Amino acid sequence: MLTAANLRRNKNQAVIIGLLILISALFLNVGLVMYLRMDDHFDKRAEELNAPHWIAFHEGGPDMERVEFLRQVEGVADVEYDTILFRTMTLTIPAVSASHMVRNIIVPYNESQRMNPPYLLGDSISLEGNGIYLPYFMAAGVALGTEVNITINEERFVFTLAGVTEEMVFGSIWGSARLYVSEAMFRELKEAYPESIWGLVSARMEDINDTPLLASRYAAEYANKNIWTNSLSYIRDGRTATPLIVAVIIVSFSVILLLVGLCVIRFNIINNIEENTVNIGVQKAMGYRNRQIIAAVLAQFGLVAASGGIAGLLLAQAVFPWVNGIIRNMYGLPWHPLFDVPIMGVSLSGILFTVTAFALIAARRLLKLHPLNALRGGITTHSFRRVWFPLDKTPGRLTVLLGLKQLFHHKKQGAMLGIIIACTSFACLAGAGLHYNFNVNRDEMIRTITGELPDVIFFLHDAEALAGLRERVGNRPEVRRVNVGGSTSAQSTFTVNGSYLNFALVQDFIGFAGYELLAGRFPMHDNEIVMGAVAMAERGLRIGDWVYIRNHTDKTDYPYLITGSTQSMNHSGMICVAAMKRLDVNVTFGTLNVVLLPRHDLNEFISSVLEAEGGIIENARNMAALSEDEYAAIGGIFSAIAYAVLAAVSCVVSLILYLVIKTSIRRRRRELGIQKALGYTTLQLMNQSAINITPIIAVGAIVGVVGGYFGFNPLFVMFTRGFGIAHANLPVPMGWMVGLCAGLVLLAYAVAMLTAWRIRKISAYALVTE
Amino acid sequence: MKKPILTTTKLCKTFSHGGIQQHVLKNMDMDIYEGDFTVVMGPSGAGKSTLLYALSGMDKPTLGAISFAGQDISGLSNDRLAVFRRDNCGFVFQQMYLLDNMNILDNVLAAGLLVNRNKKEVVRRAKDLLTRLDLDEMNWRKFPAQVSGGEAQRAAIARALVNTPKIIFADEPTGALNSANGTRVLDALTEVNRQGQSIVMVTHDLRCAYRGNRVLYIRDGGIVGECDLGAYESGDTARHEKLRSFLIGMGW
Repeated sequence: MLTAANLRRNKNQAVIIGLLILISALFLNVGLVMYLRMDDHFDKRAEELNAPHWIAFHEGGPDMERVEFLRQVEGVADVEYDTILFRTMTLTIPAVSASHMVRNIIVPYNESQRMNPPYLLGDSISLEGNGIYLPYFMAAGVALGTEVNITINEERFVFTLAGVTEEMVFGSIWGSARLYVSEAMFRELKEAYPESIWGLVSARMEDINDTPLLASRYAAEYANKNIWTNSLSYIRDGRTATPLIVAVIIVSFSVILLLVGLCVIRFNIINNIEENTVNIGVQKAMGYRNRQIIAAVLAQFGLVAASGGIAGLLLAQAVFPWVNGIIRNMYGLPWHPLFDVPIMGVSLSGILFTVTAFALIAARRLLKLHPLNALRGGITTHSFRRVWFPLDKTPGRLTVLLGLKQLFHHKKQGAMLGIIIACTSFACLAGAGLHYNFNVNRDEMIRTITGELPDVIFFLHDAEALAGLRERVGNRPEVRRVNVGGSTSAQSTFTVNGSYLNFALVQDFIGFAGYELLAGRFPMHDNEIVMGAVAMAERGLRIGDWVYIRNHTDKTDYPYLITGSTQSMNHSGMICVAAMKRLDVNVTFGTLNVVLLPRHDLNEFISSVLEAEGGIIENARNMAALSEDEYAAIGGIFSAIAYAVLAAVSCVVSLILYLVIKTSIRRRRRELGIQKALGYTTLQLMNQSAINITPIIAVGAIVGVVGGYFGFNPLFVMFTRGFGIAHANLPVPMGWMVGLCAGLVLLAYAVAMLTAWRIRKISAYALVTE
Repeated sequence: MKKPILTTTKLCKTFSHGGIQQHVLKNMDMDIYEGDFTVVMGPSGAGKSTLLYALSGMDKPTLGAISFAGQDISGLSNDRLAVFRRDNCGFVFQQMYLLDNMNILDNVLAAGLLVNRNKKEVVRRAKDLLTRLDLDEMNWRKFPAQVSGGEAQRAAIARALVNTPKIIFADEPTGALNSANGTRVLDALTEVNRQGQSIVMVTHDLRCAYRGNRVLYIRDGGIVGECDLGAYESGDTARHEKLRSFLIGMGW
């Protein structure tokens, strides 16, 4: 009964708190489901589609010897071989303005394909003629029959979209895409581009955890050839890395929103106690026990939290298609995780428990209220010991001074508002920072995540020709430096002190700009390596320590000195050829990384090199364009998150200001009536109410934004540490910070003025006739 | 010849509650004169307070016109009425209605600084008024909840006077006070009137009415009697008797 009465009396507050909890529950559910279920979903689909655990490309036509070799490796359950066309091409779908420049593989549709057979999502039409199946990330939502253009060496092929496939290995912007065409079309393309014919070997292990062993065996066996390998777990990590970071951000934001909701609940409870002191006194006088009154408060907020929480969880189900849309390019799988009951249960219980516990703490002040004092309106609880801004002594305009007086008489409310604004502006700045670094100026983000990115990578037919090419290309006037391998072109898994770690392979460290290096120096001798700072910290290693790396051929562990700590996403260190040779004497590289001097046309440079060295270069990859594509996809995700955060912050700030000002007007109804009787106009009183909160908003926004400025990089590191990032120095432009502060203050002032518009309804006459 | 400061023409005020209309003021024609201490009396529900708040621009009439110094105020917007009140009127209420989060001095200044931007002048006048109303410096810094009812009401009078309004409206100013405090408040109002300010006071209390020089008696929404008492002199028993006779004649 008491609960129902409380809810009836505070309908608006209940709605606002319910909305805050709703948004918080929505974000929490979405974030938790992404964080806890995405990897599982990937693994489950990989099993359902019988995806290969490991793949390797090799140049030229069928090479069944490799298949036979792999079949002999211990732990291999199945091996499959396909002839493919493998090369960089530009794929555009003009109808939806989509463009992808990726090193794709083109294969004929083959029903007998065992590993990740073509799994069509939705309807399909015949592949005969110029039909093509595209992976989900490229063509989700595109109508069948839509024109698809593929440009290879400036020659354009026009296809018709015949279906959309679900791809585990070749289905994301993070890696290659597999395109299915008809047998006849494949033959035609093969004849047109014989140099692009490659072999694809796929293997499944009895235990997927043994994949690194297979990779090592294969690398040792075919070390003198130009090989490309990849593992399903590495692909999964790459495809889910960004969505998982996004998930952590979403969960963090939902926690901030929940904290905001808790502050509002506290404000509400204390406010209600002060407003209804007499009613509480009457209840106590009637014989209600403290426990009963507090239980009513808890039930009131418990009900509101439950309603908001359940609504938020249900709404989250409607948001998942949008989430799937924004992560599609990276994750590449259709994912609709509806009604995950365990996570919904955990989300709701967590929210309910926190709200109830917080409400209990806030409601405990009821215990201190003596019935007699309560009946007297709690007069003894009021203390007016300090006169803030005495009008006779303080200079300034009357409206401003009255607003400031109001502000200082409600310090706790002001503090709550300040904390809320600081939290939300902090979140807002972090979102804006991500948006800036992924979409506006990516340089520092690329340095942080990828390290030094070459402008172009040349892939050679024969690794023997590399030394000559390196010298000739290095002597070109437009070239700043050349190197072999590099963090983006080659990587391998090693057994370091007994555990598997991915290392980036480089020829040497000469000319490296050193973006990856956090401390120490790059190796100079063949018994030196640099290791990822996170991997070192996790293993308690420091610069100057020795680690043992296993040579799988002679089964011996070789000692290496750690000379420096590095960072790069998904790599745990870097190793050069000289150091590699201790583990594998035959190691060679077939790729050349080139960094150009500024202001040189990349396409012109590539054409010029291909013209001069065409015979030995199998392919050239424009890394600048590729990274642009990849970072644009990641940037799109973070932009969506930044906008969602901004929208949620605007919504939350508006709701809270509405609540605070409305409550304040209700409390001050008498005072406002008196002021109107004295001759204050509605506009003056509205301004007074708005000015009352503006300094708090400004201070809160400045604290939040400055906190965000200093906290953004540590926070980014915290979220990405699991992927190998140990240090970040991402910039947040001063103009954005000032703009954010100004925007929040203006928004707050506008909301305050709009909410205070209800003051017009308060009349001096009503005061005396009430 | 007295000059009217407030004039009503066919003044009507009707309230509606749940479809039922209550005509509180009915076609009332009257004048309030400059410098007069006009007392409005009548039985409960006669429309005394409604008349006071209509005259002061706190409420709008349903029909008819009210002119203040020749200017029609009945059609003004709420904000224009607020400006009218701040420039021309002072109010003393039964419940004081001081702003309880401000001290006594700030309560007076909050009204004074609204009209006059010369802070020094307003502060000086506010302090002068408070002193004249027997509120010493210690009281200035106290909050309304920390002073007696009489002190709070005198502070309210100081607030009403700080802008030197042309007219002061008082609604049962002693209704919540004990006898001694009531007398002090009435003394203060009388003193103000002697200095030339017009006062309109609604009261049930004979002691209050006795201070006026003109008593209007209203019943059923109209003026049914008027008594001219002349200037107040302390201990004037003849004046007292005249008022008593008038009120008995009115059925009071």
